[in-house]
Amino acid sequence: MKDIVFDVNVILDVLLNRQGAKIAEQLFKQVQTGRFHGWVTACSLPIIEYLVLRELKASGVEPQKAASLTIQLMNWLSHSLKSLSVPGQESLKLLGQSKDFEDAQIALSALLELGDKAVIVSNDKRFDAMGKLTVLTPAACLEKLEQVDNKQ
Amino acid sequence: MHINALLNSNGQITFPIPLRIKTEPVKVEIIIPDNAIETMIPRTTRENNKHSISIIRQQINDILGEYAYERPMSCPADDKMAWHQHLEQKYTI
Repeated sequence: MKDIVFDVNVILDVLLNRQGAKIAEQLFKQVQTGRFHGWVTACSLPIIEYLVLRELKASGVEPQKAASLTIQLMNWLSHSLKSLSVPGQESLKLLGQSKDFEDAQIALSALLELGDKAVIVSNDKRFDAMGKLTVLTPAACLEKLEQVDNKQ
Repeated sequence: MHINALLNSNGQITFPIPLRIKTEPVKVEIIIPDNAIETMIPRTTRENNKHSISIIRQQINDILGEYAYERPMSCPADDKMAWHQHLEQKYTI
């Protein structure tokens, strides 16, 4: 396992310190230590930015402060994970195969830029990778990494 | 008191009935059947993980400051719904 692509919900767990984020944080740490490459797709960035800002405002943070904190969190994210671009024309050829346009963009970005060995980490058990990539929950991904450690 | 509980692979223990602890700490004995354990996780991995949690959380907490508290769990469908509502509001006249 060399490349892990994080779905929006897992990144939100970490940035917003949502319950259940601790396992995802362990994966982020392993990215920081160079254990594997961690990725976020470019198409996920506006979604993450919007939902972080929304949650902060809903928590009672004053709008200007919320905007400033969101930018800082997005900067932290950009230093923590590498960004995958979304290939346009090639994606369009394959998108009809997916039930979920957003999932498809993440899966196809990963597939086209990283190959079929890339793993998508998502809390969404229905994440539609069109059968082309492995999708794991953060816990399952961590377990898999520990199994690899134990074998070595 | 003897009680049966469930241990999952994340190390979480679930009790079949809710328990209210009167005094802390409570000493418990856990007996895990030998055939339920596949491999032992090396101590170093666990220690690294503990360390890692604090570093990542600390980095984000440093940004969030007074707003760095634990928030409720959210399901992926709720995240998507919120995003889709935003798109509808933005692009529907």
